[in-house]
Amino acid sequence: MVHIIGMWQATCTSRILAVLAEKGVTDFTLTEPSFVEMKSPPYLEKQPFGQIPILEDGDIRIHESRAICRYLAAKYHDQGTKLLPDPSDIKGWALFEQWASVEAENWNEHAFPMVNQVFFNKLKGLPVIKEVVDENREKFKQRLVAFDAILAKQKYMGGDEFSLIDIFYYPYTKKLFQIGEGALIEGHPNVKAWWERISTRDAWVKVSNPDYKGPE
Amino acid sequence: MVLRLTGLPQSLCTQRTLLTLLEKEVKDFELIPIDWSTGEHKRPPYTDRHPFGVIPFLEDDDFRVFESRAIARYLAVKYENQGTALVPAAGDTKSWALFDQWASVEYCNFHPLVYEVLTHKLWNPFKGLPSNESIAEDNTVRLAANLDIYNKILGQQQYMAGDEFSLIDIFYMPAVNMLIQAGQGHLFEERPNLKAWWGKVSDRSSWKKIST
Repeated sequence: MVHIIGMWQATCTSRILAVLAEKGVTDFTLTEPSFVEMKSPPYLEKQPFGQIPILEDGDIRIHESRAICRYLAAKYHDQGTKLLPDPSDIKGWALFEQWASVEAENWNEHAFPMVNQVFFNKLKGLPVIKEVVDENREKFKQRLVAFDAILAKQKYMGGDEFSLIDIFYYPYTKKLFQIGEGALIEGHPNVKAWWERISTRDAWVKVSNPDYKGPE
Repeated sequence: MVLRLTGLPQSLCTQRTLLTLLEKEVKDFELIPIDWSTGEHKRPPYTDRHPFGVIPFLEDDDFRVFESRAIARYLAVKYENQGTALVPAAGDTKSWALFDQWASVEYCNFHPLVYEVLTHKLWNPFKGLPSNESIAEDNTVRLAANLDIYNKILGQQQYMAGDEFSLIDIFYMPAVNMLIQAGQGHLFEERPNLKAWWGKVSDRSSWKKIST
């Protein structure tokens, strides 16, 4: 059985929960480590950066939420929402990788530092470096012009169909709204429409609910 | 078959794709430079093909793909039967899971920090733009902490994704080189396993061709 070490409400864990929900997978377990445990030697053997999430599935153990998502989407390829290209579709995979890289390089690259400063640093009692937030907001605004142009030509971030690429965007886009930066999304009509499309999907509505503790 | 790569040989991202082509012994391609000084890549017609206005960009007959790591993965799979093995075999689920894990480690725990350090210590000064010392310092401190972890990882495996050289190492190489050029070489010199890894990968003939 698939076992996740993560947190029900954590950003990166939520990507995995969204995949499992889109695939209709209910047979999994999740344990929540304490922050102290995450820095302990046995934990660091599994995840040297002391982060969540980790996946354990038989003799496979991996960390990194997007890698775990890819693994699960492939494992459950034949059920639920189609999230990946077919294995033999080399061009489909090239475009998948292109859009996966776009998410990391052009969206998360700026969304994460803003969220990290305003949300996570505050949580940890660390100072918020306003220049990091301001600089990343300005760079993100430029990227959003390009995203709006892309989403004028395709309905989703990976093409004309919903895919794993859209799932990658969920957590930090949601957090942008939580830290009061939702105007960045709402200010671009195609980006706004895309966010409305994907954030109202049943799977995301379920797993992003603050009370979500797994499938009933 | 016409493989056309638009980019510049001194560009960090283009170097990832050039290294891949060299390791896969692909000779039949054209490198098409863009005119950086006029900002050719920041306006149409280039931005009609690449919405973010950056390099590199690959055309394989009428198939187009951008993002250097995506281009590199595409080439590594397309030419899987020649040159250095850079990605796992098709269908090897466990190896691909680990490959994607180590790929994510690079773009989450290394690249964003390196990008900020290079922006403020190398690229902004080069362009005559102001640098922000506190952002540079914050990112250097966090990069150094992560490099300590890399040093431990490389005490247990020879390369960034396991015991064999792979595409993951290629993802790191141009950025490591640029950090050294930006005067941050001590970050690698001070960490013996990282230093040994850099010694190995920079000794490869593909790197020597790129860096001359």
